Amino acid sequence: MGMDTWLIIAGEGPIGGMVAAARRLGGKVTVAAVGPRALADAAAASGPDSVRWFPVPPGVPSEALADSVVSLIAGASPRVVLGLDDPASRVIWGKAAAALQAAAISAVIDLGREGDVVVITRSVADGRAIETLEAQGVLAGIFEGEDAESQGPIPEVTPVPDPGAAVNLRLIDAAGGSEAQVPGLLRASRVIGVGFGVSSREGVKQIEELAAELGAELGCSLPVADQLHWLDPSLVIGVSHNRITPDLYLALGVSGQPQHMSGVRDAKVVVAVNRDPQASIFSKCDYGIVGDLGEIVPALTAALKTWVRS
Amino acid sequence: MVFKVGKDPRDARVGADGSVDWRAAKLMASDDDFRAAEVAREVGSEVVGLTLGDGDTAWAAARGAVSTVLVADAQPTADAATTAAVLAAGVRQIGGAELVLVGDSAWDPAIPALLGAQLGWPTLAGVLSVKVDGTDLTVMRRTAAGAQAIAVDKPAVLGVVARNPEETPPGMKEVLMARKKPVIKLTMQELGLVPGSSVRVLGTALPSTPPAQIFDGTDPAAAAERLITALRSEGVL
Repeated sequence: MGMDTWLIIAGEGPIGGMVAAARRLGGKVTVAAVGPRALADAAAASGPDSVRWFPVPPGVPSEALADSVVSLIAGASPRVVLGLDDPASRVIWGKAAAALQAAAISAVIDLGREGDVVVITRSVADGRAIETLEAQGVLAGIFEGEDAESQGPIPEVTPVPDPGAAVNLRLIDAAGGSEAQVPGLLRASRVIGVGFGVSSREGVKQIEELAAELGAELGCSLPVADQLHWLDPSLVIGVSHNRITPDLYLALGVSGQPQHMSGVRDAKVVVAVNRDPQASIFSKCDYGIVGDLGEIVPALTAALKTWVRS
Repeated sequence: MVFKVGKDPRDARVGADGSVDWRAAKLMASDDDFRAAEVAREVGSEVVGLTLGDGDTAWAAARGAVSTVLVADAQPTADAATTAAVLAAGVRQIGGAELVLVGDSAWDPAIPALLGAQLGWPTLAGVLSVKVDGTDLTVMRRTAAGAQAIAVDKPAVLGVVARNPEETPPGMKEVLMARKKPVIKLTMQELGLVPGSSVRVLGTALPSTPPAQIFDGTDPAAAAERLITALRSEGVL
């Protein structure tokens, strides 16, 4: 069997990392980009061999193009199909996986080959262990690894003319607007994430002081915006919200659930402060402090002030 | 509605040699399963629960299901396609379903998409809410680009995400009544399925990235100093 891979991209995510993993198989790497031209260009910039761009007609969601995408992929008979973990990519990927009767694995962080066997590395047990598997036949994987720089020449983007759209999914209203990603947060090199463990508005004020001292933007986890209403919903960091790539991400009172951590996957350094030593976040950070936020946050602000003066 | 088809990854025990022990972890409701049950009730038609293995069969019944179907000898594996095949066979066996709701869990991002694809029904993941108006189904779902309202033709599969933890779990009364509701047990053989997959687990190991440096915050000033020193040496401060 060959070792060609198709990558399904219908949203944001670690495209470069996914291309890099596919490259390890040594076969052809083709991207199916479903969405605006900018998405297809971003995919091309990651260096696959080719990009087939499926523009989405007005009035339908990206998922409505799934049959067209899958038709093209099935015709190519790839060995591996990878998809990003955003909701639209996964649905199109699922159709491809079913059409190819592929084995399906999520949380893929890398691929390899040994002869005719595809070797998969994936993250298990909430990020605490790595599992290695082998696939004898066709494989479908949801890629959740780190992003990577492109290493190859940038291919041309080939539009697919008139991709047919299914009629059973119709866009009524794009209520995007206020909850779309926030540019300031996306560009910031330092971000503080306010989590559900921050116990009061007083705690948020202390964090605002720390943010000012640190020169950091504020973001939050979903429950902080949704249930506590302490920060605007536009500042939520997560898999279907803002995906940020700061040099420093300081997670305060954040438990570390995958939906939130997916939004900071490509941060350079992650620091966590949490009262619970068993919190998930401590297996997903570079540095951490176990302690009371009400005491640690002001201590950090004070220490930074001293350092600046010295 | 499909529930409890995954094990909570936080319950897995990871040894110092990187071995992973799942024995203490039972099939648990994911953080999103209860929201699928809520949406099922909001949509208003008769709800049947579907689960696998040793899952708690009263779980859906305590949240409004009139009965539960259990494929007792099926267990989820690394290959989500085989799990989805069992669920799809279960849905077909139950028959007459117009809507399949499943918790769109971060632990199992493949399941809603594969289940929908195997049934051949329109599928959406990341669903926040569902509105029914006669035969029309309107679904709110969000991606990083924002929230969209999408009209969906039935039958359909929807992967539902919860924005918050379950606010009102069922009380003692609902749980006791749930135990009296019918449970239909099926086997993989009855569904025409053969266990097996083309993937094989070779082994597990600890991640190669160095573990986090965690400081004790009992002395906040000292911990703050140590952290800032470390961050300076990383070049991010």
